[in-house]
Amino acid sequence: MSLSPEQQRQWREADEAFSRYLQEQPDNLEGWLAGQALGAAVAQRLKQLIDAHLTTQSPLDQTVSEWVPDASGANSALTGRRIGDWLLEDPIGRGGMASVYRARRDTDSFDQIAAVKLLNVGLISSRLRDHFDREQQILAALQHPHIAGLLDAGLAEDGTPFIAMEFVDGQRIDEHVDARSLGTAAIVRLFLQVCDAVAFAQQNLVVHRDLKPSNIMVDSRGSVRLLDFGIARLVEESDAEATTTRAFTPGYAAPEQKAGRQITTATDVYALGVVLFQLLTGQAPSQHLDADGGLATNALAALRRRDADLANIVAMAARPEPSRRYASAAELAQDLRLWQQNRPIVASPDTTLYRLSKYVRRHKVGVTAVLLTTAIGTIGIASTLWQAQRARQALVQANANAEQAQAVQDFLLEMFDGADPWSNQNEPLTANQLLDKAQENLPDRLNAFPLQKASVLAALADIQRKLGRFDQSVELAAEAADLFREAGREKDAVRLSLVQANALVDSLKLEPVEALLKEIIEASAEPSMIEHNMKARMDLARLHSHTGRYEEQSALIQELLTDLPKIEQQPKFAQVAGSVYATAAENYENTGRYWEAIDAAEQAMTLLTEAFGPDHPWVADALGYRATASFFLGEWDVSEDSMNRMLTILRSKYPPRHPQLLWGDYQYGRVLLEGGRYPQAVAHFEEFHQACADSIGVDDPRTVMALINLGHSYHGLGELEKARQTLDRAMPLVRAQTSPGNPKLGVALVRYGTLLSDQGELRAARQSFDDGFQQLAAATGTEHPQYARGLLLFAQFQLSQQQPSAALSSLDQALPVLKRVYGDDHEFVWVGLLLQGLAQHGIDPTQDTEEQLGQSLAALNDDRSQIKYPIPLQLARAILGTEQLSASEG
Amino acid sequence: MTEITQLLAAARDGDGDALKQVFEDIYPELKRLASARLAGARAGHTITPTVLVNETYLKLSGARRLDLVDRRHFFVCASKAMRQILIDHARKANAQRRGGDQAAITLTENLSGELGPTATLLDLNEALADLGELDAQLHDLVELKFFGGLTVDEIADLTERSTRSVKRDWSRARAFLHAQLGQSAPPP
Repeated sequence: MSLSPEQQRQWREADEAFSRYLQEQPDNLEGWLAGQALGAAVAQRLKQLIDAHLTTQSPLDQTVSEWVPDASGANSALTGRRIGDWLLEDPIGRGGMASVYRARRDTDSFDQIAAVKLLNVGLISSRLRDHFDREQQILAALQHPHIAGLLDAGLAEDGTPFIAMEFVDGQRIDEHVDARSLGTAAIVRLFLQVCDAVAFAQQNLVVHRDLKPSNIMVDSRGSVRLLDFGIARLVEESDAEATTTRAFTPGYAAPEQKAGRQITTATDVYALGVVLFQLLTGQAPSQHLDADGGLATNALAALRRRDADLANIVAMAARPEPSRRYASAAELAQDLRLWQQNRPIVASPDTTLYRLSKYVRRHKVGVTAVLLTTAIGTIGIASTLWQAQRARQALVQANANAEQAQAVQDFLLEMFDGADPWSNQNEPLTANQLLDKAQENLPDRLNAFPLQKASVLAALADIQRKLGRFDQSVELAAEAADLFREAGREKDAVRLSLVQANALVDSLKLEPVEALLKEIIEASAEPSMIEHNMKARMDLARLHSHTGRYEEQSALIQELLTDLPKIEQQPKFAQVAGSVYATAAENYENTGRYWEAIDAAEQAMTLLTEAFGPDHPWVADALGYRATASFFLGEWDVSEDSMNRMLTILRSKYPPRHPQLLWGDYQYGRVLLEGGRYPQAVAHFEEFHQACADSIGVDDPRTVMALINLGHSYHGLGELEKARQTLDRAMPLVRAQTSPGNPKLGVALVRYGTLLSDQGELRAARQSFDDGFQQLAAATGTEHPQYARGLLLFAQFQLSQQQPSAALSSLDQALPVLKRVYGDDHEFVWVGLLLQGLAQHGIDPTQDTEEQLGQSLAALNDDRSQIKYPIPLQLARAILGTEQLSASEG
Repeated sequence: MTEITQLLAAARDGDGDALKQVFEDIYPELKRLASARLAGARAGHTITPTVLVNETYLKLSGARRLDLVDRRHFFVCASKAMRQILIDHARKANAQRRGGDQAAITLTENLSGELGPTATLLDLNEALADLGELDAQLHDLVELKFFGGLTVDEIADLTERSTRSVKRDWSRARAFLHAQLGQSAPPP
């Protein structure tokens, strides 16, 4: 059935349109299709492609083994045969190990219909027979309204085992939802029946292990029936067999199932999560899993916009790590019921702010109490006050000055009065709206009570900063600090100034920060404020790394380390010491003392984990420093592992686009790039750069650094033109944004030089190298490993220019530094030695360089090095005569 | 150096005949491994292309680490060989049943609804040939992924492309094949 030329043309055109469809992922398919202006035949084919694409179950997703014909023949010829009491009618399904027929029992006085499942002929090995028997046992134990029950079981006269199950006359759950266009609430209601059935099975110690839409039927009365416990297994059963019989359905099977690891009730929770995702979004989960097997963040974006809580529930159920999911179907059901009642769910980060938005939705009338919970924290009253009335009482009782408390509360109450235009809107208030409203009205209402006003402002400042709304946070914190200072509460004033400074750093307003921090350090000179004082010095130290003032930073760190014993007895010691070590790690890293950086980062992780637990953002900071230090040492795998742990924490703690998260994503990309994983680096930076441009603007220094790294990734991939275009766009921006003597600018210039030289623009290349080294020397000195690594690139350039003597002197300068920092047996050192050998050969081909080249080649004989240093390696092999030099490399 | 690594090296230098020879060398070894399993009581469930291809790889490369280009050539050849072997097997099984039903894979696998249209390995092979006429690169991708059993990540690594673009191409190939199979299969 070869295609005619006309058909080929149509398919080709349809495929092109389909590629655009994949690229654009239009929300409105009909509208998009209409806009494609295709001929009828092509449009028809395009529709087929899209339908096929959206199909959740294609045989093409199965492994080829499932296609291999069974030599013993299919048993569809069984229609009309009698098995036990059952007369087989039409086949209704065929899986890998069994066929299912609709069957009728006519021996009884009444007519009964069943789904009879037969083990495939030729399959009767004892192991599969056991499976089949187990299904029968399990089903017999599971009598539940939402589980298709067991009616009968036995052996046909030829010994074929069969089981007869309740026949469900209905539709698959996904088709049911589609056909009726069920809304979110109705879907959740229906899905809860599924959860209940699975929970019932789990309470009977049965894990289903193959939950998917085709196993979940809905009958004509809208009642769910769970089918096919064919690979179910008792929880306490030994799982030794599980690795050999990997029966599961891709797209719904949990990562641990695919990997053949321990199966638990959480395995079913995963499948439930992705099925719920499919029902809510209409999309096949298999297309939306990230590398770890969790649902990709962007796949959940649309759902999140519709209902953030539901998205959180789905995400938590489908997390890649079993221990981070709901432990059982019952827990998932519980959270869905909380969602139904608009109550706080378990799946979200349980912050004050989160409770706040939830409360507003559930209880618009008593909304004041919500804001009270934020204000109260600072005024000093217990926290969870869910009723406005009770909040008022508690506040009054706890506060000596009832009049002041009343003023605070009246203000909050008034914010949501009937006159408020918002109360007429159908849309629930968002947290942001609430906060803006509070900020807008606060000044006039509380002027008489400056301390209370300051407390409320302080709470709002903190929340705004956590939400990533830094400008608002700066403003609020500054005002609160002033109020505290006027009231003689110096300590509170210092604390708020620190919040203000942090928000300024977060929003990259670096200039005013330094003066502010110095003020704080001065104001907190008293021993009683040593904690705040040290915190301010740490912030100053971190600021110096933004501006490249590493020597001042080193001095500050040294002081801080000396001061640590002073606070040893204080309760917050671990916290402060942890952050000092984290800052030290950053400094060591900046000054090329990578081993010390790793030590300090590990110290910091220990202390911070002790103080806050393993998932705190500060632990993530320390992980980040550890990761970048390992990264500079060339320990890519260790680095990537730390990066992943860091990103997991950051993603769970910060909203998307938060500076911490952007920083983490940036570092991750750098690891990919420096590790020579260019295709992945390109993909990462393309996406990351776009995300930065969308959220913080194309001119933001972080966006520009993403662009620079995208350019370097293209370069690594050999896409010189793209690299050039990208870097030509980015370099002027970097120059404009970095102060002279910034190491980032230096590195960017050196790499740009390499690209120019690869493109044959030798003079411009030379100029860029010279500029780059000048910047690096000013920033870090010539003994810094970054400088030395720059020299490696420069030496390659000099070799390509037939200047072996010059290359040799570059290498003589670089190698001692590299050996000192990285040790003798390290990728960078071997590259240096390789280039040195090449240079010596270039000066005098008779010189004996074979040993050095041979050793370097042997040491660099891994895939990563082949990708990162193709030309020097090929030259060396050519000299040693192990490879023909191809013409293009001459 | 074993013979296969020499051939791969020659292929890397652009010797097209060497690549043919690589295929010829892989084929019997892979077939020997596959046949042992195809002859088992229930063939389908023990054929795992990844395992077979990897075993062949280890055996024929003499446990040497091949460089990326060589490995790519190897897996492309091995996936082709795998397809050939499975198709031959399907043809033979088909002939033995003299027109009897081929074991069918259901397009909509469900236990309680209607039986969907069915497709066989031979249908797939024809659809794949059509795809090859449209886009040879997609054809090779299907061979690597479906017949060679390589994952998208492995293919991305091997072909030095981004995972994203391999995934996109797989979506294109999958959609085309699925559409073709749905079209060609007769109603039940």
